[in-house]
Amino acid sequence: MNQSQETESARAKYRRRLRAAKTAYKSNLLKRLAFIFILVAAALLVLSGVLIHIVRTQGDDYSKVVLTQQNYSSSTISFRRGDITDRNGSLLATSERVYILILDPSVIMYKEGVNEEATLEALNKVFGYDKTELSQLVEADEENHYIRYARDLSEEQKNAFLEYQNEYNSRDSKKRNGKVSGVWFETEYKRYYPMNDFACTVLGFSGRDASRGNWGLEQYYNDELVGVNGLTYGYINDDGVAERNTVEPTNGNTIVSTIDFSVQTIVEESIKEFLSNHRCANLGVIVMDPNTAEILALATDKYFDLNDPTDVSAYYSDEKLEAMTDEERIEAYSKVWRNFAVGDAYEPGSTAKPFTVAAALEEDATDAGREYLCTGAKEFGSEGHEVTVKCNKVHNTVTLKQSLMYSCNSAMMDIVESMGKTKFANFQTTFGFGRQSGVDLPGETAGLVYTAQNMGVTDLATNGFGQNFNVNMVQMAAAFSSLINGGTYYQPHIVKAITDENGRMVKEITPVTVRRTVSAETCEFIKDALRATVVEGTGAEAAIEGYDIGGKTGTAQKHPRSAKKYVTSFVGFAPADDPQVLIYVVIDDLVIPEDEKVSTKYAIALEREIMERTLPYLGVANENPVVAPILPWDQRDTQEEQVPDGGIIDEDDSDYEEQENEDEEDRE
Amino acid sequence: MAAETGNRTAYRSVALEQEGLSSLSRPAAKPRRYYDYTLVFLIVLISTFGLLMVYSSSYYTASMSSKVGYDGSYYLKKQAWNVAIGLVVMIVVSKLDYHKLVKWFAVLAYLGSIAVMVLTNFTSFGKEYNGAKRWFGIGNRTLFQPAELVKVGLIIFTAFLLVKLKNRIDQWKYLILVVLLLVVPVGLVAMNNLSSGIILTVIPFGMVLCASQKKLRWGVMIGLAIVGAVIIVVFAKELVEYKILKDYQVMRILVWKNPEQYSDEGGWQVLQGLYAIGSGGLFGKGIGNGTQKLGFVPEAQNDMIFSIICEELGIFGAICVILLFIYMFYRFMIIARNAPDTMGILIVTGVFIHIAVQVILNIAVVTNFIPNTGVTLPFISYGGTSILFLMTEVGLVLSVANRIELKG
Repeated sequence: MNQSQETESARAKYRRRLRAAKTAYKSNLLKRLAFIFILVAAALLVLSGVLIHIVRTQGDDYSKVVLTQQNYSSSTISFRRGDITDRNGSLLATSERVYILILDPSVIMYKEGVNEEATLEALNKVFGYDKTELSQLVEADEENHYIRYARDLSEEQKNAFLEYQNEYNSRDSKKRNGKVSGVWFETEYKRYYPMNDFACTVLGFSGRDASRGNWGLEQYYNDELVGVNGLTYGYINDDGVAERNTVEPTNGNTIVSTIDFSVQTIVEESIKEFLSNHRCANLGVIVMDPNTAEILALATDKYFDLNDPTDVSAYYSDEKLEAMTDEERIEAYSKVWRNFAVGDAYEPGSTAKPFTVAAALEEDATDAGREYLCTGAKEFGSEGHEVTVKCNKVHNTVTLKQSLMYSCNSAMMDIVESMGKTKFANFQTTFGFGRQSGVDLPGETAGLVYTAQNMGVTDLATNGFGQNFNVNMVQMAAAFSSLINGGTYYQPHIVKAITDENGRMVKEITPVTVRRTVSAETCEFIKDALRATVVEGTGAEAAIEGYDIGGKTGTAQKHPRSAKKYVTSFVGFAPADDPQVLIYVVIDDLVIPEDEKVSTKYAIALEREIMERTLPYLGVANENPVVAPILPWDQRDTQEEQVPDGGIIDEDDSDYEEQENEDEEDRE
Repeated sequence: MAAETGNRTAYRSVALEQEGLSSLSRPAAKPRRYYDYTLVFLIVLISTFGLLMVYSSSYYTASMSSKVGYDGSYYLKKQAWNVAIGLVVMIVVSKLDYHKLVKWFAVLAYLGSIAVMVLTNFTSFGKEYNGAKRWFGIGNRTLFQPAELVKVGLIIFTAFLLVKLKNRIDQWKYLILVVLLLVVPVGLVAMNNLSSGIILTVIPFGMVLCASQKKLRWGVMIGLAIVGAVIIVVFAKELVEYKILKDYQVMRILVWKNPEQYSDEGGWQVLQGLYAIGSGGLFGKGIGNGTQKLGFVPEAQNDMIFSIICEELGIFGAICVILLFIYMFYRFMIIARNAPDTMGILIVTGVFIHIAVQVILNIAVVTNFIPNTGVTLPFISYGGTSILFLMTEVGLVLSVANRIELKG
């Protein structure tokens, strides 16, 4: 009993101790757990403090960063480059809406390519693209969203695809193999010249970059032709909400040129016909309305397809181009693209004689009744340094009118001598020689003339018959117009009006009177003399039955004089008493048969061809009672202008070289 | 429901007594048990909020991604399934007796953890994702992240060990034995996933710390751990030279110190998270109105989701979320205090430490308070494995709570 009591109490003691230990263990456990809880809560509170700290110290900065990071994928909407039309609204250059085909491989290959087969099939059927090539492309770049696959697709092609896609995707799912998807189209504009090489030197061209024009009107009127791109953009408004906005593009203006489609066609056809039989270094034709100085047609011997301007195979073979250095190639291209009629200066030759006569009449240095003696040559200079200048033949006594009709150099030298260099130089300026005419085409050369200060006696003499100073074709045409239109020099121009894309007038370009050049009486004399030139003078071949034509030939020897190269030209107008059209033809370095002497007959023939076809179109009545005596060329009396060998004798050639260098600089 | 069950039991015992059979068939009436509806409610609340934030932060990128078929609600739908399954698992586990679970599964969980980790690390069952082999899968299908399984396994196994050892844990040889046992699975996880390795170290460490009655020993250890961490941070570059740390781990430290300078190496992501927090202000931009999730904060629905919460709900919303977690932990304390035995307390301790560590690490990473480790925010971040095993753990806690007998 005692023993059992002891055991009992020992057991109870043990149980108590055990319970105590257990309680101690548990309470320790809970205490420590509570401690960890407090630690955790404290840590979380500290982190809350960190959060507050970040917002308080960096909140504003970070908000700004976040706003600036949002780029809401703004995208530009291309403007449309303006059209160029002829004077009657025929499209010469336009911009067509074309489509770019975009592939999205990540959509096409979506879910291991369930839509691949259907999509590639569609592309193959509508556009004829190669399926194997397409599948390689999309499979190689599965995560890509944007591949520009094709450009310049027409509206019809795009619609054909969309129709196919619609039809296919709306089929019952059993009748199709996935869906046509992951193909879409972007819009852009492509410059397009409906008549390819038509008026190429006038128009110039614009390529992929619609904001740039090269050469011609495309370059000169680039600022009018380009518009402003539109924009779709996202922004964040005052309430911090993102919104989208679209600014529509402003399209470029339309340029209405003074070019007459029909006249330009006649000119180009005539030139092409001419070039099929002849070779020359350069050739230019300007058809101008003398009463406004509007250019109705302008063409040169250089032709290229405006839709593919780098194709110059007509002038350079592919191998030749390939072999060139980059600089040479650029040079070669610009030789084809440049406009001879404004960019090149040349000595006008005898076509300048009417200016000499007109100036002398204005200055009373001569009169209609004056007679001149031509002995075939004239001598200048002081002793020991004598210079002889020849005439083309011995004309003996010529009246002022005859001096033009037979193109007498001696008479001209006498006239300018009595006029003096100051008055002559002033008139060069009056006629607009030696500075840019301001025609609205790029790259115009100013030409080069003597001033009264640097003009020597021989210079004055040779200038009198159109040698020894440089002009460009537009300068000549505009100045000549003033001689036959009553004496008003109009600013030569090739653009009539600028309208907006809907045809509303933005700017009308009316003829601008720059100055009066000569009096009406002088004009009448010149017209009469030049009419006589065609009727019975050096320009007889220019006569057209039923029309009253006036005109003047021109032959100028090029530098160096020894090379025997010539610029031949003819300027004609009709009707002679009230000119409605002026045609100026310049042929540089025409290749003629060995045994033939240089002559203006080719220039006249080309002018005549154009004139004959242009007059009926312009509505000039074919009612002239005076019929010019038209004789075959070889039966004619030698009224044809004869150009002397060398033209100028005993003159130091180095003078000319020097002048040529200055000329080069001026062009640059 | 507990009350109802209780009433029914009471009613039945009365009925039995009336028949005079009560004392024969049942020695005592089944006691009324506690069930922590508050905790269940909290879990439902937090995970539903998580769904909302997952949807908000993933919609844009998902709708732009071919990987998920341009389905903006892809992540929402998947996460909704995970949450639903998780809740069912939680309720089922909560109704089981944790004593039996621990008895049956402790050793199995331990050995299973090691087996799964060996398979993942060394065989083709391991699947790489974003350059790290962290997934277990068969064939082409990835199934789950084994590290999450190991977390539950170790909580159960450590609780089991500590209950077996009781006070003997304070003896060095037993402590070393425990460490040796745990080092195997933790080491296997840490091989490919340092952050999970750290969490897996902290959980049993915390549990042992609670069970132990020594003070100095643990104080010294924590002190050493802190010194170690400082050494790693300060001498990061030198440690790489001696091949103790891997390049990418050091880079994280460098990025943490100076995110602007190392923007290409991950600093950009860190900064974007900070921008999100900073631009949120006090009350945020409103749910759905954030802009940082539009491709700036990478995988915004995962580790960085807290930054999106800050951006859209502001500091106010973020602190509300933190308070919800603190309240959850407070519920854990209540359950631990009333738990019927030490095993219950230890289980609650393990689960508590696990969730608490992840919450702290996640928020600390997002605020760039510590280097980036890649820890998800429990119940809120997107991730099926994580939410499933977290729910299982809460189920265990609820099971402990369900063993609390109501007096009176």
